[in-house]
Amino acid sequence: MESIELELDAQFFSADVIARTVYRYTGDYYVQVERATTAYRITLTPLTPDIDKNLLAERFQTDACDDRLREQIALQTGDLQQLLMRAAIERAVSVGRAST
Amino acid sequence: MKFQPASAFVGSASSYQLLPLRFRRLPWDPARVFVSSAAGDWLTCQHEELVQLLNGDLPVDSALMQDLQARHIVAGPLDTLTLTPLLSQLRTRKAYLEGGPALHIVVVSLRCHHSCSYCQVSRQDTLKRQFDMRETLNAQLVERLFQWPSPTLTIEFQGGEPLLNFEQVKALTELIQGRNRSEGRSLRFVIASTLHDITDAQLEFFGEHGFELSTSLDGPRLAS
Repeated sequence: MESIELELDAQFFSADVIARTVYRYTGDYYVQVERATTAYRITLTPLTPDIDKNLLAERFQTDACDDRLREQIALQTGDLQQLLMRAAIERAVSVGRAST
Repeated sequence: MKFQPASAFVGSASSYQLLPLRFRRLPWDPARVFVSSAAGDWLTCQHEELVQLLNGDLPVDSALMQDLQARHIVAGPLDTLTLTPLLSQLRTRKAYLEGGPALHIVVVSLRCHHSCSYCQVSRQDTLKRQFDMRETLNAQLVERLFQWPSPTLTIEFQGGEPLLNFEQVKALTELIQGRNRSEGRSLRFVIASTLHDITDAQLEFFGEHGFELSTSLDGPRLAS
């Protein structure tokens, strides 16, 4: 089946972002990722012939940009998220701790 | 007396604190995004506005900013930052973690006289006793049950038809109550049964041990 190849700037996108975006496509495509010097080379091959390939490259790039934005959010709010979760569940105790 | 213009009372565009959030584009309108807070409150806005927000450029006096603050996606300037309302929402949402699961379902048999269309169980013939829960597992079950710190434990016997393995229901109930003498939890016993062939002795046992009976009356109006 016909594959689509994409190149994404390795300076702009982290490996985590690429992995996250690529994973999103594994339900419909075989995926292959290669790291070149300055870019990630991604190959998407539809699993079945009926997969919608319309604007595939554009969709992938948009998703990658959104995942990059999520990475930025996590960087900005990750510590706060952990702090909040710790405070929210601090009253939850295991049986072992409750009985001591 | 001369008042300063309204802009003098507004902080700089970046004087807000981003709180943990998630977003996703709307499938039917990719220019808009669904944005949710750590506690699950949400709103939708333009993707462009989200980017502005993340870059610290969303005007603090905008209607969207008010909405984002009300939903705990953004907090005011750092010096007045208060996370109390968000924390309270989060605690409520995660309250189930404090005691762990309180409802424990024990399937004592997959055998049943009936094959109701809505039943999720892989029902077995009433003669196939190999589909009954083995007594050797009882001690392990009780151990597992009391591992959860919940002050209230509901034990619901289900099947198949649990009355087809009534001896097991009886044994487990007595075992659990015996263990609870040292645990001191509040126990609630429920049995979900068709009540098919229920006996006086069984009803007496349920009465003695404070069981709640859960059943359904099915079929045409005349039959039920």
